[in-house]
Amino acid sequence: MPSLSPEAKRGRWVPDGGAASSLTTFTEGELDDDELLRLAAERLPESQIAPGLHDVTASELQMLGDCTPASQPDFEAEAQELLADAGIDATEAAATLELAAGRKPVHGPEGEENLIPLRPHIPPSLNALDVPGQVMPVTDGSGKRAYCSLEDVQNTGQGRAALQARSGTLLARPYSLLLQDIEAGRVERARRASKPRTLWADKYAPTAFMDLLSAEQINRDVVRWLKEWDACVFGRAVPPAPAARSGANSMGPAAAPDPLGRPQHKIILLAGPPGLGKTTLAHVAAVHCGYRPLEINASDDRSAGALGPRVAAAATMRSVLADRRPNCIVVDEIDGALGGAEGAGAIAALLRIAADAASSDGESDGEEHPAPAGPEKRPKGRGKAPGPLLRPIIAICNDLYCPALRPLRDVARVFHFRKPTTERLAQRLAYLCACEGLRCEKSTLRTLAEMAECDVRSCLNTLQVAPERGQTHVRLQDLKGLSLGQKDVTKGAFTVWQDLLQHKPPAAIAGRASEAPAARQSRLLTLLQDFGEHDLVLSGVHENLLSLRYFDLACSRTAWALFALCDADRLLGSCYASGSWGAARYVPAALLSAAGEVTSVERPAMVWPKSGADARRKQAGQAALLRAWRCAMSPLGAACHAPRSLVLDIAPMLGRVTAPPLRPVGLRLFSSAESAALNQVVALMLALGLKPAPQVEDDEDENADGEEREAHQGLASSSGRPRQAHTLRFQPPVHSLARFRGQAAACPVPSCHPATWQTLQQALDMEAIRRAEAGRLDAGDKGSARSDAVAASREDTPPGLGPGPTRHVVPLTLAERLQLAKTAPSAALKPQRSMSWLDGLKERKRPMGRQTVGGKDGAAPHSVLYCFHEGYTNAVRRPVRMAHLL
Amino acid sequence: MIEMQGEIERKDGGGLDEKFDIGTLSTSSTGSIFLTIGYHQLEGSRVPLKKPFAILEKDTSEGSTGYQVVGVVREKYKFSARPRPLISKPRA
Repeated sequence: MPSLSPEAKRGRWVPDGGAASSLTTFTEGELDDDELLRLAAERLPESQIAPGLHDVTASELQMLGDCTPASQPDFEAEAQELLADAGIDATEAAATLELAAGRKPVHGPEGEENLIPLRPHIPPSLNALDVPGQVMPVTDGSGKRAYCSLEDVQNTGQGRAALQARSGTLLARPYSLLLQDIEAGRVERARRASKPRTLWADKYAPTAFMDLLSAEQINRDVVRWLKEWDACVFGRAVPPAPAARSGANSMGPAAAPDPLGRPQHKIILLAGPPGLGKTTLAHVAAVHCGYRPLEINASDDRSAGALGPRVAAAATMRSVLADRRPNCIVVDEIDGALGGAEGAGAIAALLRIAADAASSDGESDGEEHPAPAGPEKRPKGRGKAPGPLLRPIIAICNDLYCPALRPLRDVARVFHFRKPTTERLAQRLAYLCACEGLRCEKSTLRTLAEMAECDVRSCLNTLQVAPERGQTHVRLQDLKGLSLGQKDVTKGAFTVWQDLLQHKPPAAIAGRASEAPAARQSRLLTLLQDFGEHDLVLSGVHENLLSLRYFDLACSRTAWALFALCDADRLLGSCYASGSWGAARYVPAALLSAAGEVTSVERPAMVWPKSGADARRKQAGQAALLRAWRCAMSPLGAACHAPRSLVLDIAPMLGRVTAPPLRPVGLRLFSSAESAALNQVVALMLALGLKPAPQVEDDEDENADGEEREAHQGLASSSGRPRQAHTLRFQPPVHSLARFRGQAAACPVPSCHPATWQTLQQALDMEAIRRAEAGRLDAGDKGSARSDAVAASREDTPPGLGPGPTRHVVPLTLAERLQLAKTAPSAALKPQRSMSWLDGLKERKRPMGRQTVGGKDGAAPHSVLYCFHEGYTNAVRRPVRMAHLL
Repeated sequence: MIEMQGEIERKDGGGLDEKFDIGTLSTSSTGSIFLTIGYHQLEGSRVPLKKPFAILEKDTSEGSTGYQVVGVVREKYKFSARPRPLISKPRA
């Protein structure tokens, strides 16, 4: 609590701290209620005012300030009591009271001039006559009445004005005026809101044919097509097409005339980006030709059940109201009718209506349409089957090439809408701005048109915002940072690739703002993120990268782009591997940096990426081949070679190592070196599980082999040998593992003579049989369940043909061993399974039999058994093994 | 007389020249003959012999050896087929 100086006790307020500046000096009587209150509140720091004090001071101080009771001590004591009750310190309360009573003349602090002219103090008195001037009776709570002098008005006004100017905290305008202002604002807003507002796009939509903004030729063709319906709908002659223009209309002339006088195409399809006035054209043209446009939004009625009957109804009925013009059906947003079977059904329903029309002889299609046939038409079909289509149908779509529209595309006549030129659109916008009283420069409008990508509706909506905001002038900077609301456009992959890889040159138009690189980057980034299919973009860029034409010294840009593509691929790969797509958000950046390196000005010729899929398919095939090869190998070979080393180390060299340097002579004429080489090759091929494949003269392989083939031919002819040279091929075609297109061979395979090849094959077969036999014998040795005959026959095998060192390899291939490993545990498990009745019988019999062997009780169930002799022949039977024959 | 293609084994250790019970010979209503040995049942037929056998008994009691015809076998039971195993609880 600030301690009050003695000066303060004398009625002079000496503030501590920053209150000095706002402090003013008052003489008593010049304070009105509010000011007094404010002062009291100011004087007591907020923290010291007890809750509820404001009320107390408000009532009490007001009284104190306004009246000074005649019995001064009493009054002071009373006031002090009050204040003490409110929790205010006595000293301060005294100061407050002193000041409130204004007993002493108060001067401002030194250096400050007196704002308010001093006035002689006139204390309140109990007698009204004692007070000069005007008086006012004041009654306190105890019923005492005092009379206070009233200050004259001018004086007060001066003081207040001075005070206001000084402090600046009070309102500059009277509160009532402010209220009036607010009220007026509300009224104004309400008035503006209630004013019927239309979008400029609707307000300035062309109503006359000549106002259409779309291309002249399309407008004319659409109208001409509508006119061709005249014979059918209105029953008047079709205006003949001008010969000069019939080129554009060339589909028509050859067609046979429709019996009902309808044009060849029953449906036209207007296709183009949003906001180009397709719907407008349809409506305007229909009105122009005397129809009543009936818009059916296919986005709403998506299903076949909804769209079909509506179209049928619209085609056959007409309004009973005043507007008795025939209908022209405008099916808007027909590509919104796609989406699964439902959308296809909707298109099919539309087509059925049109096809019905095409067949034109009221064949009822059997479907019961709820729409009744119009009374004025007489279809041959009975009942409710709709007759032939007698009204034009205009379908409108954004994406012509969406799959659902494919059947419609074949039937309907398609008009492609092109974007209007920026110049033309800007002119139109300038006209509109002039109409609306909006000031706008032509260059600004041009920029706007570019930003909106020539979307007329978007431009208009953007412009309309300005007057709504109260602006009358649209400047170029207003357009900056303005994200234009556009209709959603799905961009195809080709568009995305092209946007990425083509840097469009700044146009020749002077006012056009060329896109800054940063802006382009951010736009492309958004584009990529929106498109979403990163792997498609990646493969497309990768596929088309090398066909682009860009300036590249020392291939550095290509290398950089490929590095970036590698990054993108790695990111995507990690996404696919981990299944979490957190890293996918960085892919567009990598793609962008790759594409940024190789952008060119000219339009790239794009192809759909196929090589990736090709490579994947081929890789899967080769992997399967490798697996099969490993399974066919001997277990030792499979254990020694990892798949990778098989591919990298063995497969490329296979052709060379398996071509022994043999003369094409008989087996018996080989030198010892030759036979050793042959044995080595045979051992190698057996270990690798390879067999020489039957040679086919004409390669059944595709043209991937062609070059290799050529190379071999060249080789053969250069060495003077005719075409009988063979290259070795293997039964699992592992030679293809190391063959690459365009590359002759990693290691040139020496050709081998057919005789040599046959020799090799024979030796291989024999060795294989020998080993299999050895393996079988070995297995017989291990297994106990062999008959004596086998054992006996083994004894008389000649020692020369005895088991070789490779004998211990019982399962010859990995596959066999796997099979063995698979069956072994199941064999072990067998006794644990539920026994058959025979097993059960044996189990029960065995212990009893053993018991009876010891004792001669004869209690054995069967003491006598019968042993059947099957008979025998007298022919000499000797076991002969393959080994004997080899 | 019984002719069969096979041997008879004794499991209780006795010799074949001793007297023992081979099994059960039965006939069916259809005329086929069944011989049950252990858990084997043999099906056979009754075949008349082309030449009858005489069963002789050697008699050396009176100093000189003489043979006495005990009986004549005119037909035989022939069991040539593969025996059929019997799946049943053996008789006690």
